Formats: sequence, C-alpha cells, structure tokens
Amino acid sequence: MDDDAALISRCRAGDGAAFEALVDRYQSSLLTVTWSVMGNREDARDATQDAFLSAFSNLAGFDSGRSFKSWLFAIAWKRCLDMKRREKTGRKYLPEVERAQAAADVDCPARPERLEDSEVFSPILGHLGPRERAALCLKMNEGYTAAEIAEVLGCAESSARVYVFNAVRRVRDLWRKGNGDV
Amino acid sequence: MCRFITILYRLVALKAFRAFLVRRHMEACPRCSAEPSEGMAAGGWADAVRPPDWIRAEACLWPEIERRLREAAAAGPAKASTVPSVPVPRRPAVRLVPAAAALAAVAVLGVLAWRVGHRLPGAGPAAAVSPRVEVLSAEVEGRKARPSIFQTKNASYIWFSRTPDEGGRK
Repeated sequence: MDDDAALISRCRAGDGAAFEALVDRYQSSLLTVTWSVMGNREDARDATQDAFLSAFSNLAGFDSGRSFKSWLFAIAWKRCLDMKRREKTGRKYLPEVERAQAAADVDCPARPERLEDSEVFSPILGHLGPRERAALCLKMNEGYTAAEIAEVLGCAESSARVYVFNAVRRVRDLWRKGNGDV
Repeated sequence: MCRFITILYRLVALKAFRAFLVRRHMEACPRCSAEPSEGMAAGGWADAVRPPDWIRAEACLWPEIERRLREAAAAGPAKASTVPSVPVPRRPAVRLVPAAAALAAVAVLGVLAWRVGHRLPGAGPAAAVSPRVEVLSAEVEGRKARPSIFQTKNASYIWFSRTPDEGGRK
C-alpha cells in the first residue's frame, strides 16, 4: 500500500485514483472528528466532504514535511468551526424560517439548540465544548499526542493538554453521576 | 493530577484560573504531563465517547466527492466553484507569542541597562556634568602665583606658588 507521500505525488500528477485512495484511507477518521464537533450525521458528512475537496484543491501548496492526516484534520476542524458559526448566525437571525422549515420537513427532525439535548448525539459529549470534544476524539480514537492535537486545533500544546484534561474530567464526572443517563 | 492541584482546581471555579493552573502544572509536573492513557478505557465512560457504528459501516464519501470535483472542473475557474474556500491552515514560520515575549524581554533589559548605566559614577552623560574649575589668575601676597593641580582619588587640590619652593594654599 502506498504511503501518503507517494499518493500525494500521484495526486499532484493528476491521478484521481490516488486521491480516491486517500479518501478511503481517512474518511472514517475524519468523519469521527467532524461528528464529534458537529453532533449530527449530515453536517459531519458535509464538513468531511468539504475538507477533502479543500485538501485536493490545495495539494500543490501542501508541505510534504508535515503529516497529511493532521493537515486534513486541521482543515476539517476549521470547516466545522465555520459551519458552527454560520449555524449560530442563521439561528440568531432567521429563527422563524428555521422553525417553518423544521415543521415542514418530517424526515429531518428539528435540530436542538444544545447538543446535550440531541437525541442522536452522545449525551455526554454534548456537554463538552467543540474544542474539548475534538481534542478528546483525537486523543481517544486516533491516539494523538498533545502536540499533534495542538497542530490540528491550531493552539499551543499546553492548551491542548488543558482541553484533553478538562474533557476527560468532565466526561468521567458525568458518567459517574448518571452512568451515562444524562 | 496531583492532589493539591485538584483541590485548588475545585476551590476556584474560574475558567481562566483553572486553565492557567492546569497549563502551568502540566509543564512542571512530569507525572501529570505524561500522556493520560491510564484509566481512560476503564470505568466504561470511554465507550460513551466512541464514534457511532454508522461511521464505520456506511462511510463512503468518494462518489459525492468525485461528483463535486467533476462539477468544479466542468464549471471552470470563472464560475463559482463547488470546492469550498476553507482557509487552509499553514504552519507559522515564527511562533508569534514566544517571539513577542523575547522582544519584550530584550526591550526591558535594554531599558534597565540604560538606567543602570546612568547611575554608575563616571558613566554616561553624568560624567560630563562634573564641576569644572578654571583659574584665570592667582596672587599670593600681592604677587603673581603659579597654580598647580594635585589630584588624589577623592579630592583635587590647587596649589598656588610664588616661587617653585614656597608651597601653596588650598
């Protein structure tokens, strides 16, 4: 199996199959991260697709010395933040439109105001902030170190440690309180 | 996390303080700054943060991505692209916070050195303000005298002599 550097070189040369291989390799991991931030399947898929497309568009400028996976995660993280910001703005200024749309769309249940109220998202994760959720997800599912988490989230390594520490502490406290029934 | 830090963390419910406390302690305590892998899988709470099954089961994004890439290629650069313009994070060439802190430290040291230099005896502009005496003419008992300057470490003397052996007065 080709490593990332070889696949990226082939992508730059116009090999579409190489990019498909990269998508197959990282889509699950990336979906996990975007899901942990966005809290629902549709937004997670959208953010993941957008991240792959942006990465493909900017492959020419990618620094081969750094990790492609971390770079991809960082793009996805920024995309999630952007989507969250727009969601908040839209919710603030167009509440009536959203309510009307939610009422009309029976297949798509109305998105709750807070993630902890979501019926489909982990109730424990919903109590964390987006940075803490992302940091915890990267730590537990990808085995990332604090330095790698900091690279993805665009923060200092010490801040990444704080996010992981706070996330673990809060999740453990919530679990102990209700044994998952939060 | 060390017990004292844990107690302090619980006592002060300020977000900024807690972040500062954890950050500083993580930098200083080798035990706590080690990767917190132990205990994460125990207790069952770790399962609550695992991704749902659908992520592994049905994650197949390539067809949609391929479709959007084809649309973008067909539309060309002139039309609005289906590729979202997500700012691509770049690694900064210079870490700004440490560089700013270093510059500030150099500036402070420079100011301190300048002030200390001003206060040292005989240093800097203070040395130029030392009192200056100019003898225009001297007489001893009505006769012209010749001034001589005799300097020690702590004092300066001016001798006036009518003849070379007559001695002088301060």
